[in-house]
Amino acid sequence: MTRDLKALGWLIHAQLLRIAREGLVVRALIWPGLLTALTLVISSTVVLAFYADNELAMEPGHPALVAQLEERGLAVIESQAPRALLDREEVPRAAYREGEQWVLATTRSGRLSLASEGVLREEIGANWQLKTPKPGARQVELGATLRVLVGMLGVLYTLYGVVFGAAALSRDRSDGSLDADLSLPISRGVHALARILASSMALGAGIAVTLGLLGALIGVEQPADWWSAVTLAGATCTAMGLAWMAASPGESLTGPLSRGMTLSLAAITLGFGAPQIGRHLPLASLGSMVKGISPSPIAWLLCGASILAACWVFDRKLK
Amino acid sequence: MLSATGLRRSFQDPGRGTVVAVGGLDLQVPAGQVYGLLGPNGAGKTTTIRMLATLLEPDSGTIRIDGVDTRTDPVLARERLAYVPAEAGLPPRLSALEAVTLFGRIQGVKGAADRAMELLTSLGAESYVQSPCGQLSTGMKRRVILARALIHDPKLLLLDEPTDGLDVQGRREVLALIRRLAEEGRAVVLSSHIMSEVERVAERAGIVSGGLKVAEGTLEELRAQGGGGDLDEAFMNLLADEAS
Repeated sequence: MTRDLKALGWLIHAQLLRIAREGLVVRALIWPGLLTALTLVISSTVVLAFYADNELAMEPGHPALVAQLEERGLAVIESQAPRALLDREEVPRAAYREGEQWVLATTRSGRLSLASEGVLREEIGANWQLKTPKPGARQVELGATLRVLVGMLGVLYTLYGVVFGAAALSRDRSDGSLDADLSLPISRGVHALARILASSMALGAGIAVTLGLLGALIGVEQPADWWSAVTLAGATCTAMGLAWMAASPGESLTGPLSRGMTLSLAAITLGFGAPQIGRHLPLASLGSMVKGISPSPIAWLLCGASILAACWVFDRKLK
Repeated sequence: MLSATGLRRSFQDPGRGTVVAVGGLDLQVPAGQVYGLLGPNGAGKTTTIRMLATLLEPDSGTIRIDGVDTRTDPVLARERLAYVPAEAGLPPRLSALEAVTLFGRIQGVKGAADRAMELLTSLGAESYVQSPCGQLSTGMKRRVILARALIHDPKLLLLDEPTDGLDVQGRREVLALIRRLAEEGRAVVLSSHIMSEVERVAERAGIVSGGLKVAEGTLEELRAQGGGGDLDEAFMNLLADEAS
């Protein structure tokens, strides 16, 4: 047992060294996330250049208020009908009077809206109210978009998982390293466990860096939950890929990949459609995260069970 | 050292039904001896060696390595053997020294890095220990693979076509190494379809065809059984007799 544990540690080390030296973590895992984040930043910059986000429409004749707002970084557009400008989605904020009361209507959250609120509180005191009309079709709710984006990156990681599990075994089988490895005095289950754990660690590290980059560039909500959901999905897919390839030696990589893609998308769709169920399943929890619902501990347990099942298949069915 | 009796192994082939790859093979190889397993392609040599290496379970028969039954305790049996497949891969981005050292560490060899360096040096690979395996020539890789196989000081070496892909010089060097390893007290089973290389290193050989042992003995005995001449001729005669 102690010997197997030591061997497991060194086998994981050997696998990780191989993955790192082959440049897979940077080239395959982090690069897509970084490219996506950069693309989003560039797109946002271009969009903001055409659709300024710091505008606030206001009735004319309040120079003190305008001065305060402009000092906080807002561009004030004076108009006789500020609310109409907001309703036409020409500005994200409007400040106007309704009877004796001042109203700040805004379709955006964030620093500038809070700054507008602060100015109104300071200048007008209690006689004002805040309104948050529903955003129009043209206005993007960035949180939901980001969740979909990170979900798509997660799907990519599920496919990497299948590739890490199936392709590595297929390559080692064809170049003879698998036979050399299996002739070592270590049980086959330990070999399988080392492969899955090493791949999961690489996938976990890759998504952690990707989420960090995305967070720094555009902001990601619930990063720890996203990390869990993607790592769970990646580890489960590695286990599945390994088991499929172990049980069917003649199969090319296309089979496990297409099965992995179909299963991942089906499970993610289930998680998206029924997030309260999906959060308990390792792959489906990615779909649940798109709805903002975190994976449950049961998902971790089921991921562990799938890894053990893959080790069993590797031990008993490897041909 | 190695004792195998009544080894049988068959496979299911979609086109041909049940194919008997090895049909009742016996093998005895004492310590310090090189045993040549000869036969044409598809004769069952690799299947036999993979069964001896505990990678394939025989349908029937027993294998004992240094007294350990491979069926009841395959892990303990593997401690005593090293298997070098015909196509033995090395991780292309790891250096020769790293590849050998890691194999030792996985097996719990104490001072694995020093032992790896010592082995690589003794096998004449000291000049490229830091080179990535992917940049080595076939002959260089063979030395590294042999060093990797020897890291835990096995008592039995199972070599499947060890000179495959080597040029004349590389082949001579590997064969000399195999001879040296046997002289150090290891039992060696070497599969090949090239008679001359078996003649160079082996004391005894068995000729297999269609999964069955056609002949076995010292090289002199095999030549005599095959009607005299060199081993190539004896091999062809024995196979022809078997076919008729």
